[in-house]
Amino acid sequence: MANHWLVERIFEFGDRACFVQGQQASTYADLAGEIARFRSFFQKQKIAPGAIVALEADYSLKAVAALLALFEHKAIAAPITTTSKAETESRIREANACWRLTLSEGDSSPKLQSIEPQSPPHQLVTQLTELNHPGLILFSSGSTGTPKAMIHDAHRLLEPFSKKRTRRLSILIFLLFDHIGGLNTLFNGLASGAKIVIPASREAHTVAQAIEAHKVKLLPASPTFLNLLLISGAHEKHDLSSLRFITYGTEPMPQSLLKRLKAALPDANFIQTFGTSETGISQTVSRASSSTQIKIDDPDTEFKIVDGELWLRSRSQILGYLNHEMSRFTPDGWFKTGDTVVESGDGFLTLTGRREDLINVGGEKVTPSEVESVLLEIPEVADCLVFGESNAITGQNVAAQIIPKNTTDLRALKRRIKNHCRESLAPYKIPARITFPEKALFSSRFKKSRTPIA
Amino acid sequence: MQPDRNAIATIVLNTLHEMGEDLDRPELASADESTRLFGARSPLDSMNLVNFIADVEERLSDDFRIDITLANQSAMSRTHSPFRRASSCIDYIMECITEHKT
Repeated sequence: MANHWLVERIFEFGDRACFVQGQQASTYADLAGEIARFRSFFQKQKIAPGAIVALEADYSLKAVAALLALFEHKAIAAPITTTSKAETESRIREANACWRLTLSEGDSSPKLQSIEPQSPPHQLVTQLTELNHPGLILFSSGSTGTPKAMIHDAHRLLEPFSKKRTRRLSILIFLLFDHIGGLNTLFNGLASGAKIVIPASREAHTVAQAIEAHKVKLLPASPTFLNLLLISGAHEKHDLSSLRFITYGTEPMPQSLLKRLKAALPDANFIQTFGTSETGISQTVSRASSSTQIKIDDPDTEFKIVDGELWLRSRSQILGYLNHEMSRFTPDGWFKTGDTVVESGDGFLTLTGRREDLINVGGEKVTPSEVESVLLEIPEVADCLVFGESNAITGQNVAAQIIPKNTTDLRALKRRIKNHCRESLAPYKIPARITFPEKALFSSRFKKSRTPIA
Repeated sequence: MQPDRNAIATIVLNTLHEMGEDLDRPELASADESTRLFGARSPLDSMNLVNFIADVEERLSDDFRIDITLANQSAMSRTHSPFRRASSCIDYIMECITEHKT
């Protein structure tokens, strides 16, 4: 018998289409069946409530079933989706997992392995077990290279989704299975009985093809991916007119990119989402489809701006870190997001970047995203990355890496770029150094990584 | 190939001329070795100087595969700044290239 409101709801949705992955389609009844199988599997294997289970998987019917069955079982799930073996091992270690469940693609039988935990259960884990609540462990890349393992009360994290209305909606799931944004899309979709399309890869043409084939209405993505979609021309080859909502988050949206997206996909509404692994996704309202300004409008989230940085306190925030001090939280529970924002008079916010990415040119602060937005206005610029480099005269100077659209005369292009910047940027914001790396400027998670490519 | 002083002078002056055209500043467009790069009587402000140095470094790298940082702490702390005039800047670059080689 289902032991969780979401599992009950999945059972009730019955024959509605649930997942579409390549040629395979499954219904909510299929998902409920898989959950039941995992439920008895976990019981047979004697996985105890409060046990930490590393779930090595990418999106699939089985992976989602396993995750929900773990929640039902009051276990603590640590989803891990990475192709790096070393990273997987270090995440399992930092989570202090005692089970490892591996679901590889195409493999029908899940592999469960018992592992020796590194240390006795963390006090936060004990606390969750006493509450009889399931848990969710997410990771963020720490500056030292060791991933930070943070633990959510999965009961509290999922609760807001129970208010979702049932909708006939087709959603493409783009962000990863172990990412707060990806899980948010998943829970949203499941709670509203949506059809969830899992693309074969995150490559622009593959995604566009899936949107066309399954008449996807909602696409949650990152600005980096949306830029790639435009560069690839996939939106011209495939019919994307079914898209009604495109949500974007995880990094600032350059105004110039939003403008090009609006022109390329005129029927879609562009909505910015906002959240952090630590506080969950907060409900926000965009000022307009063409605006990058948002208002945090969530009964469960409080916010304030301290010295230009956004601070959040939410009902669904993490209990804490398993392997890190709580230095980014104040004693009264405010989370310092590290995101810099500009507030307009009427309560709307513009996210401008990460606090640590601010460039200080002789005392003047430069936000990389502002410069990137101007660079992306130039037709020959396909992608760009702006960062600070040290400079003996001004402390730091602005530098840019550019991926040109057609490699022609790079020196002449450089000159055109600087001249273009001069029209709309103060002199200290103009990149003093412009280079043209040969590799892409984003991570495998389709997010700009602010470390320039060597 | 080791560039001679003439080659370096060409790089420095071409960079200044190009900046003059782009910034619409005739005194830079017609710069010569006596042009001041630094200080109150220079046509360059500090941001122009930063850009000028970055451009020169880049040309040295592109044209001669010489990768050096011209604006470093030791250059900035000299009593007589190497960026006083175009001529002293050219001499300073020659000095850096020799040091770089050895």
